[in-house]
Amino acid sequence: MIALLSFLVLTVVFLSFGERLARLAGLRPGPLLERLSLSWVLSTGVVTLAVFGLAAFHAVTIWSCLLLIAAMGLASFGAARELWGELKGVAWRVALRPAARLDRVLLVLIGLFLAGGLVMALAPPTGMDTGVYHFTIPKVILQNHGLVPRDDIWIHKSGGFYMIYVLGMALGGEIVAKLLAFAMAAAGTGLCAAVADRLRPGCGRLAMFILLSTPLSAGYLGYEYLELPVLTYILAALLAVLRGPEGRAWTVLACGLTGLALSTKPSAFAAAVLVPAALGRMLAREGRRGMATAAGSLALLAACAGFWSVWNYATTGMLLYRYPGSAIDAEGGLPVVPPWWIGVGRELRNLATTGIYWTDSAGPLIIAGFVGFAIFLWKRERKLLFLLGATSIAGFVAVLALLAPAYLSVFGARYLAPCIVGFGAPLAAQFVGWVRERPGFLRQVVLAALLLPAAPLLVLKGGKAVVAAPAALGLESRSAYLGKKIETFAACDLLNHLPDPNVKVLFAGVRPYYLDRSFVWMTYFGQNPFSRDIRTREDFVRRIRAQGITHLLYEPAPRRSAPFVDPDSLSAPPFREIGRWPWKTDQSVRLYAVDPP
Amino acid sequence: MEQQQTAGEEGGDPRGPRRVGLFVAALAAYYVVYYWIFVGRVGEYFSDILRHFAFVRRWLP
Repeated sequence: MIALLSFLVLTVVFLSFGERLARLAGLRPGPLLERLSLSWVLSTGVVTLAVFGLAAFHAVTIWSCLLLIAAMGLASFGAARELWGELKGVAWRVALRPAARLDRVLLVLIGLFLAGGLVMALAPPTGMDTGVYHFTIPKVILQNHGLVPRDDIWIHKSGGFYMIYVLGMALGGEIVAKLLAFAMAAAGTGLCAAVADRLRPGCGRLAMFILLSTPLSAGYLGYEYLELPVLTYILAALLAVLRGPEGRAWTVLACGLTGLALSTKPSAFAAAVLVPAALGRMLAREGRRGMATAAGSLALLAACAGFWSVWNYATTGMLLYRYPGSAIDAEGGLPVVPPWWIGVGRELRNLATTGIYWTDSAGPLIIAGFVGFAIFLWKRERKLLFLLGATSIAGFVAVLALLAPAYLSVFGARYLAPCIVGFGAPLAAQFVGWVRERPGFLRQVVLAALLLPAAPLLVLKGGKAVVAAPAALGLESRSAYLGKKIETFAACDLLNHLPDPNVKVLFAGVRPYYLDRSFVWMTYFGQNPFSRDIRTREDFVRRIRAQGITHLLYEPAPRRSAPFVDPDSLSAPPFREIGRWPWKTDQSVRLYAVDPP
Repeated sequence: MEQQQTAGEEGGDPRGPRRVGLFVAALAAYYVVYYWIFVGRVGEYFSDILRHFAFVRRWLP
């Protein structure tokens, strides 16, 4: 209940502050859905930078976060009243009961996708990468009141949106953080509609549906990953590019939003194609008069994209930190990669279909939309989205092939999916919108291709939501829900409830998020800093003692390179097994106490 | 205006129906390939869930 109230207050503040900010920047208001979505994104950007500033100076507390939100609320009181008045004036009956049958069907399906995501957002976090780092790092930041340089967790990887998670956790816990992520994704659907409506009036609802019915969106909506925040920033920047002719502020904004997308997940680097699009269009219009604006836009881009790297440099001397013993560390060695042309071929296949998981895909309609646009609309409609999409794909594949062929991997489809969906969903809406107006065979086929992808995704999302619903509605406790989902949760829960305040855990498991105690993490694949230079069991025990480790949590991980972290080596003193829980196969999660010398 | 022009272009262009036919055939083939792979991925997802059910069952008293 407290989480919901906190989220409600944050929603009002985010929307009204963003509206106020847009007015201050001289951005002419658009339609209501566009304004609300853009306001959310603007506030998210400001909060990201502000909380990062607090974190860099170790000033992140509940009180500093409350002060930040109070200041935002006070600065935008008038905008809140104005927005409320406009919301009351909306003809909701007309908006929710469109005349065309297809529009009514789309509206119902949009509602189902959003409802499924909302249920997932209200349940405790279970995403794999969430427990590994997306929620672990914000939790560590909050526990330490700021950023702390560490080798064992990936805190040096830029994750701008983590600051929103920090704010949510500080002001109401993990559910507020999840709801903020859900709201960001919802803002993305609103922006997708806004972009599509500006390219082809009347296509907004189609674009929302196309975005929500991609595996990427259906899979991650309500989860705490970073792909959907990146997608939302891309769509906001795209809107700013389209509105560039209305004033220079839009160009500056497009670059700032692109920077925020890049700082959220550097693997989305292909989103940078928005920058030459924004600056090129502005300079083509204004010539030399636009040079100062271009310089300012690039400065904002650098600030928004690089703030995490500045902290890295200040604390480690490296802009991009190389984790000792990791694959990107020189001593860690690089994996063997196939010839570049095989990697490129596999990458293109993955991009056109799916990556390693069913969620790592833009879906078939968007790829069909690119082709349909090229065949039927090339000479009739604006090509901006097609060119941005094609350039981002070509740039992504080319950069990886040339500079980092090891990253032409099954995960590539997920890394690029925010770009493909961001540029492709409004583009596909352009195409489907055009087809829809033309009776005949093509219309029937394309509308079937539009609706078909939703069916399996709604079944999958619905199934997940049904499982999560008891926990989301408070009928099932957090520990009961997570105990069934997370193999190491019971062990973490035991450690969290130990009376000794000095518990420090060597966490040789996958997801340390559920541990409230001080810990050192051993990554579940490859080498890790803790094991460096350990040659004998005595070395291992000595390091355990030196780092004040009191407990060791062991979860099986076949690809982990960690000498002496296995049940055989841990079966003798000073290790004493105090708990054992079944794992997925015949192996077990084991918990050991480290006895004093 | 644009729609009238479009209809006129399409109606007067003998390549129109052929282009539509090719597009529809390619679309159908692509959807078959896509869902062949997609179903495989979903199958892997469910097999992982089934392994997880085994974990849950063993966890229960």
